[in-house]
Amino acid sequence: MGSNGMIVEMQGIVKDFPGVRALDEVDLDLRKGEIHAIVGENGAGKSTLVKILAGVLPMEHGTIQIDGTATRIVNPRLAQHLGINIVFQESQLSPYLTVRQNIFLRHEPLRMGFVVDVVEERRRARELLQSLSIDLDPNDLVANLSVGKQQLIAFARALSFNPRVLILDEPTSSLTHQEIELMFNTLRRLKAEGVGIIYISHRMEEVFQISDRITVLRDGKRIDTRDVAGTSLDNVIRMMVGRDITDMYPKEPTQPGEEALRLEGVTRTGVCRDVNLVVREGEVVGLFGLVGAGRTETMRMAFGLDSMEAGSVYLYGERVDDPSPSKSVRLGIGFSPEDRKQDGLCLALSLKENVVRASLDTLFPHGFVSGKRESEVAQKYVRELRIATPSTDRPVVYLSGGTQQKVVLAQWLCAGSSVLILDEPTRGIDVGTKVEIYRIINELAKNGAAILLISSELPEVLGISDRIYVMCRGQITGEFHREEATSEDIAACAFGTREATNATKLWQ
Amino acid sequence: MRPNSGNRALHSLGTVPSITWVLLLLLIVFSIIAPHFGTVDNAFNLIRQGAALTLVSVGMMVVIANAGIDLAVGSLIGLSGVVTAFAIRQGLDWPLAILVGIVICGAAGLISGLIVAKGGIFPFVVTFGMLFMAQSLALGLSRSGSIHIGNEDFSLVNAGYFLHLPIPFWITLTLIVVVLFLMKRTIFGRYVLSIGSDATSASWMGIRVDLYRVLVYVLSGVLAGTAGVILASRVNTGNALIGQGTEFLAIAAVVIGGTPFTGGQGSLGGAVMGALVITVLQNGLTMLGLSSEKVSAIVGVALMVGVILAQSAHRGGSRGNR
Repeated sequence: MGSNGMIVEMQGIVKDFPGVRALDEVDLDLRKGEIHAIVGENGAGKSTLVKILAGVLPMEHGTIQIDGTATRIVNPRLAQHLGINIVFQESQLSPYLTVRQNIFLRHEPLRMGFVVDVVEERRRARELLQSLSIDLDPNDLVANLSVGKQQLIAFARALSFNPRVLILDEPTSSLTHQEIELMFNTLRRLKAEGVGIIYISHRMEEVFQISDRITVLRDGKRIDTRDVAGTSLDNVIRMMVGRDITDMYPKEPTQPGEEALRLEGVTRTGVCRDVNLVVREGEVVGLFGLVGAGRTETMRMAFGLDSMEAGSVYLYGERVDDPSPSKSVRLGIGFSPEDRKQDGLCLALSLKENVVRASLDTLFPHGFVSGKRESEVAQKYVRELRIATPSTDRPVVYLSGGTQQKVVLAQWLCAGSSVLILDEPTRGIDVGTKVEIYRIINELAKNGAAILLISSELPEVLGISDRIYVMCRGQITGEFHREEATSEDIAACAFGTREATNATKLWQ
Repeated sequence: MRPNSGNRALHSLGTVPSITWVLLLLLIVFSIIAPHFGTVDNAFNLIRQGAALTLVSVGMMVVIANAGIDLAVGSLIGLSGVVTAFAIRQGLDWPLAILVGIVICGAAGLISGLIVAKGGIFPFVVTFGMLFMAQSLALGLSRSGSIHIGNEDFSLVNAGYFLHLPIPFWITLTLIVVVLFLMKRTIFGRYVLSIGSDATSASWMGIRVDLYRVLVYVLSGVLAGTAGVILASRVNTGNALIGQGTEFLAIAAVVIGGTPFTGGQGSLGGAVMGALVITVLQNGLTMLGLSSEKVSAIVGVALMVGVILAQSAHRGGSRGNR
């Protein structure tokens, strides 16, 4: 134990990712028997910070003291040895091992050093699950369990190490109210036993309910650390956002023209039902909803990536028979996918090759690709979209997330797309570049493009849309014009009204 | 309660794989239509013939479950036979010579594994290189490509009996049980599967990913080496090219046995059954009097169908899970 009662003291932590400083001189400390929440917007650096503490990521600069002793946590094994255990945001379980095998992975009860004492393991697993009131058969395969149950198993696994420092990164995102309550009871018990807990969540209610102190991160910097008792929700959110909404969303009024894209009665069992929506020329239309509401799936069908059971797609008033991606691209629809690295770009190819990727047929009708012409075309978009790159030959894998997003946009502009479906175009992008993306979207709309923006960030949807549709459980539950849209109403529609009052608290 | 939960734990590796029914069907059909197929002599012949492929397939299953691949096993079969033959001709006792042959193959696996794990090179490339290195070593050592052994005791490794059953049966059974134990009851099996499903996650959990990646190739090498010894004893010769192509038969056996290429899961029983299906097909078709190129063609088509069925079964299964 350090002289000041701190188990963990992290000082001046710096972490760089290609093209972006993820953490800039961040400090964080943790007392024995406290719950310390870390909050911040997407991309603020929360997960990166705790991954460094857990020995998963190396840092550029900074010091970490454990019990007052400077320690270099070079790998996860050392972190575990020091009593630091983490539940990651994404499931790290092995799907084809059982619940029990996952819980005790890396600290199995052993005989002769390598043979698992299955009887003992089974006993301990039962005991642990029972003590946490998790109703699961320890012999079930993890692959057969829901995401929520998997989250509980990851939690149980971390506890099975008897940690002194427990790190939870968005541990409740897929849990039911009841399960969250059970988890919180366990956290309070651990706290009373003197365990230090770091708790990352974007659910402000939970943070205020469970934690003792809150550290706010923004754009990789620590803004402040406050006692929960001495601060308010408004305060914390202001620190998280840290800027006036008007600066952030440079919206210009537009004059919508002809109807560009129309979906009529789009239906697919288990995905969406009877979705109708319209996007006009020169209009930015937001499609808001919770994760899993079916927004991406619906627009994938409209683009022809997946097939629909019923419904039709109209483009400039004409019905698109049997939509397919190649047809959509030819007719002028562009689709910027949620996972731009996986689905939107060829990471190993150069910037110019990515830019012309969707328009090779039109640029080079004879089938011979000219590098010179490619460069010229790419140069044009580098200028227009202010893409930060040393050269058009740079492989996009080396560009930052925001720059990569611009390349995706350039790709569709180059293909002459006049209808753009943008799925979470600013996810994981730093704030400065976000604003630039918004400006590009404005500019495109002004020049007559029809833009459909799928987003899970309410301020973003409110900030840049002319019109907003809200989806909930596969159905459109609301439509709002810019002037009449309020975060309360939209959240109510997104949650399907019942939980609306609670939900609105999440967004001021 | 207990036996039941034990069964469930065996889920991913131990339940009866669907390929078993194909094997039974083939056995019945060939017994009816092929003269002499259903005799004790031929049953023993099948066992001796199939032991090598079975052993290699078991190793391959472990490698694939670890999200790797081992293309070197075919030439390691040849290398092990040649080294064993060479050692016997140099005057070494045959049991020791066998050991040398197997250890050399384990060492080759070690080298492959180290390059894969430490160098971060694709296993396909590494083991493809090892295929040629092992082959050229075997060819060089044997000069003409083969070394006659001519040792009566050594030939008993293949031809001998224990408890009225051929010795290759016992060797294979023992090694299957050992690998089953490793996969089901030791941390080795768990870490292999965990790394196979997501190596990054596994390292975040504190698993020594490199160590287990290497061990997987060592195991595969040792099993291929053992297979090579059995084959060398069968022809009483160390032949550098005797195992050519076995790697692809083994991969096919693993896949039709229900192990997907994606890693993280594997069916040991399925791999064994897959190897037996291939062996029975080859043997039965030959017994029908078909020429060897016809046998190859039919086996090729059958494997293609089998792999397609196995893959589509898998896709259907994983879709159900989502």
